[in-house]
Amino acid sequence: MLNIKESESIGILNPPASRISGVKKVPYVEFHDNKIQGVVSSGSSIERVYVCVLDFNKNTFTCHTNNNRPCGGLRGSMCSHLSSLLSNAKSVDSIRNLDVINKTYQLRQDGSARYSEVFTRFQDKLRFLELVDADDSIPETRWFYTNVVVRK
Amino acid sequence: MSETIANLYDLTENLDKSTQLINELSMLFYNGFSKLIKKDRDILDQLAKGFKDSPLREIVPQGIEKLSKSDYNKDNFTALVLAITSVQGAIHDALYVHAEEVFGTKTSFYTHEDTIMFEDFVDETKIFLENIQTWLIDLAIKGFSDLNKESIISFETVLETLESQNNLQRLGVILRCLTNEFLLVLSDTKNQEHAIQVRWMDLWCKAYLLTLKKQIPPKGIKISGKLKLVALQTYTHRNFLTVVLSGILEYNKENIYIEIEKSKFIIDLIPIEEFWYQLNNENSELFKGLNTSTVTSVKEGYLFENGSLILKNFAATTEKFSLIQELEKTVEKQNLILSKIQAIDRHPIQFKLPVLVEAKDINGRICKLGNKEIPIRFELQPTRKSSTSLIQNKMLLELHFDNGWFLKPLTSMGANNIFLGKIAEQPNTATPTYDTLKERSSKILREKK
Repeated sequence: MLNIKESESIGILNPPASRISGVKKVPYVEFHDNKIQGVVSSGSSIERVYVCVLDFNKNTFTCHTNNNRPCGGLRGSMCSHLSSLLSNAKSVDSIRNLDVINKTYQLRQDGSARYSEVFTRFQDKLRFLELVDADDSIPETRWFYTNVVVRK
Repeated sequence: MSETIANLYDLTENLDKSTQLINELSMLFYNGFSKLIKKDRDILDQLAKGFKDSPLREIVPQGIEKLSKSDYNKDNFTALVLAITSVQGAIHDALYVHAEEVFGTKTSFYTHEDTIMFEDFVDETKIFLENIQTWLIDLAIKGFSDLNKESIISFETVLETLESQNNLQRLGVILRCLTNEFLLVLSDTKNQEHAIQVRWMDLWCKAYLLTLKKQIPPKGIKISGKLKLVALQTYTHRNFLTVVLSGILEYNKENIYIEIEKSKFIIDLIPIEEFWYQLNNENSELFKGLNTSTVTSVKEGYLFENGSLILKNFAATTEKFSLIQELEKTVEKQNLILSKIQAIDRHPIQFKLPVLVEAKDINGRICKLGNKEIPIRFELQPTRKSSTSLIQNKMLLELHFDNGWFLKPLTSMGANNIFLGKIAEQPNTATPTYDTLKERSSKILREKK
């Protein structure tokens, strides 16, 4: 399993499974490209989710729906979705200890920014759940060392 | 049996030479075709010479010679891939011949007219796959030692497109796992020995091969009969879980060694235990036969030439069988029909022979047989915890070859308890994260369409 240092170096952080306690409210959170970003559920409709991003490159935060409509709760300060995202991110071991987690007070609202790629990344994860499990033999799957240990 | 297995070490000189050639070629891929030195050209020349009297004599020597002169045309790489996979196939076949000689019994294969066919890809797919070829060739030219994260991450979009196409699933799985390995190793240290051990060149070749022609899936033959499940192996990858059940199928008065493979895609948003739970639940009827050593009645199944069995209609029965007696009767007495690996899949690692070994001969990770010590390898099964298939005083293992012989223990069952990853430690009764995200995926992805 990659540790955080390694993950950061390739720009992807895989949250450990243990954080999933609030999955219904925050089904997806990650630290990617110096951004804490994720997807937060709408309280009223399962089809609707909010894309929340704390961008430490631009020092901005934003929240919008998966259809790119602005979140009505953004009024210069963080909305409840962003608060949920942040709260959930703090329960992720690998994010909790990042420096940026204590710098959210520096962020300002950018209501016009759209991060549709975050929703796409979430959809890509979900896509694997929809793939039909295979009965067919793929012999090469057994060629891989599933716990790669590089001999030094 | 002990003495017999020990004799396996009398490999023929040709087999040693071929294995050495493959290792040297792996190093060549590691260093990259842009950095060929005289020694590398000699290796390529040696490879090409092996085909001077073969049906590939028109394509292979010429292509490899051009490659040796830094002509990186696709056709030349195709010639190289054909050559390498042919050598791997020849080693695979030689291993079976050698094993047959050592065991003194003629290994019989179950064969039927189920030849794999190929056809050209349609234009749109062809262009897409040509892009993948270009990416693969670029990797080979630069060499695995010169991998960089950007080039691998930039391939992500192509990979996702690939994975969304059902008919290219196999290629998608290979490339997904291969790029994951690249990223893992990049985050640590590069190591030549590792590149050989993880068979990057072989996987590269297989991926390249799969971009050339579309493989028409074999249909298998419809069968029915009694199935006795004897062992289980689990594999945990970053993207999927796989369970392989081994069994003995009674069909046409013969005992056929079969494998049933069940895979499940996983995502890192969900605890892996929940996937194991799902997989366990979805296959509980099948696992029952293994757990309780009872016969599984196959009413409709499809048996493939490679020994893979897909069950369509089956039921657990109450008919008990003695595992030890079954294995002594079939495995120990070599009264077992083994699968025949299709030409496209022949590779030394595909060689496998179930063996029954005295438990007293096994000490830790070594199996001492006669004056030989055969290593026991667990690397491919990190989720398995402890129990090997210990049956009274004998153990069921599979003999494999990967730069040398090794034995792989086949995980088996305790009393009413199949070991499936962590699920055996904490039998779960719910999969809250899985259920939640599954519900979301059905809503959100459907809306996307």
